[in-house]
Amino acid sequence: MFARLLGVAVCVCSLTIQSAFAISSESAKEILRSMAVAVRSLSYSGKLVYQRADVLANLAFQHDVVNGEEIARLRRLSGQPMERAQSGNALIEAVPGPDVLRQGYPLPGFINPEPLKIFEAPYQITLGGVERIADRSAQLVLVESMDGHRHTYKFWVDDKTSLLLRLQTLNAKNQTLEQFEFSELSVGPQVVEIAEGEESLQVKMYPITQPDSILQFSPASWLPAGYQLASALPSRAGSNRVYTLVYTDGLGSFSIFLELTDTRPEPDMEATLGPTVALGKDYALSSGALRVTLVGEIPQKTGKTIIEALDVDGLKGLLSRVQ
Amino acid sequence: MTETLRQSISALVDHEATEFETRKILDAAKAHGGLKGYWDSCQAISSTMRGEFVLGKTLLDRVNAELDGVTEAKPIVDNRNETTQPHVTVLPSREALASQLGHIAGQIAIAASIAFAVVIGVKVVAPVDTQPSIAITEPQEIIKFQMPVQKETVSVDGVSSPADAVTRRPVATRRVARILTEHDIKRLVGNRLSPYLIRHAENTAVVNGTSVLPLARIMGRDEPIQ
Repeated sequence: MFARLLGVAVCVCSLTIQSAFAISSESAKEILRSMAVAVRSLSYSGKLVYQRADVLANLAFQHDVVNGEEIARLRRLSGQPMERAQSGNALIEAVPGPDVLRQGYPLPGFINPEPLKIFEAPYQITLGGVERIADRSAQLVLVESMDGHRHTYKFWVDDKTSLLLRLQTLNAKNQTLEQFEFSELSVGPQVVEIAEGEESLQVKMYPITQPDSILQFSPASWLPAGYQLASALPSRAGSNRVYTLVYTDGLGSFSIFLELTDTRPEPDMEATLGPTVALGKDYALSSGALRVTLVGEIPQKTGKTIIEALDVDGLKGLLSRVQ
Repeated sequence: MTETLRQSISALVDHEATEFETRKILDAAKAHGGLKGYWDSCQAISSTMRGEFVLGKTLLDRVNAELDGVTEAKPIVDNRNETTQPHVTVLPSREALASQLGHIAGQIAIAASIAFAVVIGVKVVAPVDTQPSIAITEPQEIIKFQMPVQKETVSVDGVSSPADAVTRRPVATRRVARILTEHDIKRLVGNRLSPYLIRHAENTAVVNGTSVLPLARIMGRDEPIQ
């Protein structure tokens, strides 16, 4: 009898949970799938405005596919010229300066070949209305956080091309944390040049590196559901070796940086920049400190919970071996 | 005198100025007559926070006795005319919880008194042209400034006090107080977290393919925290 009651309870619970995620609209999901393909397969360019708190940036963006390889560049149009680009297995940064090419630190490559599981994360995805963005007709898709451990997003997707025309990131109070919007968009092949028009450039190339082996460990006793490890890599920051872990749920992501330093522990530090939270915590060791830094587009409370759930003793031992 | 110069002097008082800042101050001293007075003021504040001789002896005795819980209540007076020069002892910042509970009510009142006394002492000995608000928090050392909703925030040690407050760093690391402006706090947090904000944006750009957003986040400014 008890077993039967338990079975019924389990069924009811599972139905409730399923229904919570089942209210997502299939047509809305389909628009997101099309968008994910379009932004990576089409050649397009345009000008956009990015805004966060008191930050306002005018940027030019260009995406192209050359010989099957994606090339994307983002150029700042206000203030000091700056350009960042992604081409093949490198991230490129170009700023005005003496004509030099330098190698930057390695960036962790994507280790999971499977597509990101946005639809398995606790989001509710629904269709909104049709609006006009950049002189084009765009369909609004609302991706709403269902558990408080991620932000809510609004996507405005071009009706004709499925390209993303506008994006807003919102917090739990439905306040806009950041947004960007194309003011003009051209679809078609483009000639990609890095920092076009600059006479001399200081260029830094950051190689995207696939690690030889991934340390199989969880840095914390608790991580929010729906996030999966996307990349991990030991690298260097100054004289310290840094172990980087990157988690994502397909939309939001956070990086955990772990390092052993020989400096004195610093006080806990925190910064909130729109949707991005950055938390720094040092754990004193007999000589130096275990330095943990978490940066991500997640709610501040979630970031703090992750930091508090870190397996500090385990990490100390692990990093000692890695170093 | 510019705010930058004031901050450089503050850093020099704390032995944290770079060679460039030191040279800048020396150059400015040649051209700016009032600089020496401001330098003296900073030194006086720094001395006060280190527990060196600044205030009158009666006041010192009064403060220490109150902290020990052995004196009867007397009003704190300004002893600017006395020739003897006692000092203010910096409060111990780490105490056993039990002993803190025993004296907590008295300490709150005394902490406020000390803060007031420090202001009076500094004003008498060496007036400064900018008077920061004073706040002594105990036992935690907190630095944070409040900003309106939707503004970007930075904090150190998780607890806040108003901008321009005089705060002390954790005694475990350093027993010296310093004047922290909003700029100081941003510089402190920026030095620690900015490189990681950039790295995270780059990581996300790689993970998210060629999305606009991750790199746009760090291209709005020259530095992530300004």
